[in-house]
Amino acid sequence: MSLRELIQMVLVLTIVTSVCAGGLAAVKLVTKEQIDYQQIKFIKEPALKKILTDYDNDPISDRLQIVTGKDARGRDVKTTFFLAKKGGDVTSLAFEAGGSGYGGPIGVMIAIDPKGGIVQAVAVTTQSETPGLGSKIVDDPDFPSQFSKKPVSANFNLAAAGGEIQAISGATVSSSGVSTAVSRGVELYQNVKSQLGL
Amino acid sequence: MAARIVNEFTKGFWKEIAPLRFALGICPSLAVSTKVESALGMGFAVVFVLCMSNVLISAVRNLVPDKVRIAVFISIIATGVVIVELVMQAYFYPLFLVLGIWIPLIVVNCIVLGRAEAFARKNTIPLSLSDGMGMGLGFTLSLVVISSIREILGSGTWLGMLVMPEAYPGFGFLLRPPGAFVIFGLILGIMNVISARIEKKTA
Repeated sequence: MSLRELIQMVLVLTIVTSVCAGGLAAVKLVTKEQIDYQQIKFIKEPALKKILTDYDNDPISDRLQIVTGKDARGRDVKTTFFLAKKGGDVTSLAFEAGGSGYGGPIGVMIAIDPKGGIVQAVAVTTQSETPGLGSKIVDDPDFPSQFSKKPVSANFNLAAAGGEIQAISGATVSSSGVSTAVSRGVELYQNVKSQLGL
Repeated sequence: MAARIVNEFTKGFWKEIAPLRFALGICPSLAVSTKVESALGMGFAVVFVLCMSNVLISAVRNLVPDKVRIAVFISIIATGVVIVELVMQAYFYPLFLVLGIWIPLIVVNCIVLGRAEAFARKNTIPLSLSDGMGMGLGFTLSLVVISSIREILGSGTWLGMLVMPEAYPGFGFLLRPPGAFVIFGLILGIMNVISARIEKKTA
């Protein structure tokens, strides 16, 4: 193989892949906002509808992002807060927190009444737990309701870990994932409470 | 020239219809053919990727050294696929959720790379475009045929509309993977019988 061929190969591949990468970056930039909206609408809205009861606005449009910490590389981690309002007053504040279950990460949407500091309801948004066992964290209505109407100062760990939550039998890891997510969420809420200005 | 373009276009529908003649790309055709709606979504995604990759590959066919051609083809195809994925995610989110992993897997769909390798790298842009269009629509057609049979007999609906009597219980077997193979095999057999008849007549 001559040097000329070699250079041509390297050059062609470099140009083609750079053009492809540039094109993709452009498409990604254009579609990003729309994709965010769609993901919120189709993944989070069902959970939001489940936990928010008393409101007359569109919580998806009334959302705000707040820096809630830093990741391992020192970049800001943002959490999206959805505000449910009635007659202009904020009645609940909903946001997502995560824990790890048996089959992967579990996302939990938590609604908190900012005035009383009370957890109104929680609902699972994303999960990949074993169907029929771990998936009961979604299907079993009694489990998520244990978190409702408790003050944010309550201990949301499982009873086995000294908390107030009864795990679903046969799905301890999944239950613990949810309770970790709620505990983290409540902690996060208490840290950023002042920044929310409610 | 015009006749050739038409010819390259129409061959994708019967003579060289990819999944049924060459058994290329049957993996997605079996997986997403439980509903006509997802079959159509998948089909049009493949049409777009095929047209785009065929045109671009044909455009650069004289510049790319033979030794790196596969890498170049795959880069171009993968770009097209990611564009489809992003656009689908942005504007057809429910469809994106249904098709899921099958969208990124178009990259390794044999039809797309096959047409690049067998056709686009040796032919002009208009011919490659018509070839890609024909092959893609042929793929869509096979998917729609398979999924129509599966959806009508399996769940009694077509494109979500009820077509069978209300009391029809649904033939659940067809909606599961083995049902896909059975339907696929039956269609293959019927096509071979018809082709043999046609050949006999013309011979």
